[in-house]
Amino acid sequence: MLPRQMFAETVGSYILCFFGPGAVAVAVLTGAHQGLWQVASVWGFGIALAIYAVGSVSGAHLNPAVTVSMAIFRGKDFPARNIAPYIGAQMVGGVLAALTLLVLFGPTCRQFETDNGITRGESGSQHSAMWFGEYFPNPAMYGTDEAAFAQVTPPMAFLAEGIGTAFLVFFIFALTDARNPLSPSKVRLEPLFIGFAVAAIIAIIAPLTQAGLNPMRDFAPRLVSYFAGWGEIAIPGPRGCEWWLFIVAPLVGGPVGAAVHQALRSEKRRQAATESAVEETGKAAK
Amino acid sequence: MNCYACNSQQKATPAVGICIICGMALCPEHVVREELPQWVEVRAGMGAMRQELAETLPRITCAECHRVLSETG
Repeated sequence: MLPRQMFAETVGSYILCFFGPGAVAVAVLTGAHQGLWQVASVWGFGIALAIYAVGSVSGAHLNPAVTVSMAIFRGKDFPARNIAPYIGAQMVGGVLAALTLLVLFGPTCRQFETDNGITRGESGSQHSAMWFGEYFPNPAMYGTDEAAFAQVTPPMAFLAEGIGTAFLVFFIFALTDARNPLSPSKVRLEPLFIGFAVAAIIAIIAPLTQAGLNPMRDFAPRLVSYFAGWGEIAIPGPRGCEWWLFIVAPLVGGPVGAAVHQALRSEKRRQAATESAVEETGKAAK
Repeated sequence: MNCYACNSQQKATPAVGICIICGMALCPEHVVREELPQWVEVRAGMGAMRQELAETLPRITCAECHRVLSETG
């Protein structure tokens, strides 16, 4: 069963990384998408489609932060021994998608660099690398000089990624919780709503950090950009912390979001509520 | 109770099962027994994962109902 699930995670991650970073590539290199919401919408739809496509096979984690959160808080259904195979499969899908995008948009990217005087691998080339991994602040909105760096410091970036991923995983847990009577899962709409959630979070977080929210989505394409000529601009990144910040912050934020959801809907609370209702009924009967 | 299918051929054969659809009593020769795979939905991701259970569910039908069920799903 696990190889089939791993294949599904690879396929789903490929879809996510094709449409997500693909939308960023189209926006940055061609200007076809105008404004952040257009990119965020394509992201959201891409994720919804990926979930609909592979969700019934693997659960569609497509994100190590989701995988780790599931193992911590839904360990009965998703044992911890599946973490490494799932994340490995996600990384394979992400790298394959980034390679596909490199083939499709490589010449366009070269022309973009020529037009804007960008030398790949040197300071400022995050402008042309930003459709692979994330950089902060968003190079397309803030630029890449010291004044831009001062506006979003590494701790602020960590907080933004952590909060964004906490929201994402909180919404995923809430939308997929069978005990939530308002969940759209009864009519199989939860993937669409998760897509909307991703789009909404990107609309707020992306100016700060490009909204990675997903270690696989950042690190797999970043690896490809490292070997495609961006070198140290990709890893470790112009500020030295990009490569790990976009991995660690979502892995911290994700379980925090899941924990908030669990606290809202814990069995203990439900049990306590039932006991108090029984007591109330007993009192009323007396 | 005797098998309904055998009875229509003027034979009296003791029945061993009942078709779950039409209620026809059936002998070992006319009964169709299937083991249906069982699935459980696991909500451990962004989509509901379907996992096949080790246990199967038996289903007894007559040949006619089995044909219709197979064609209509």
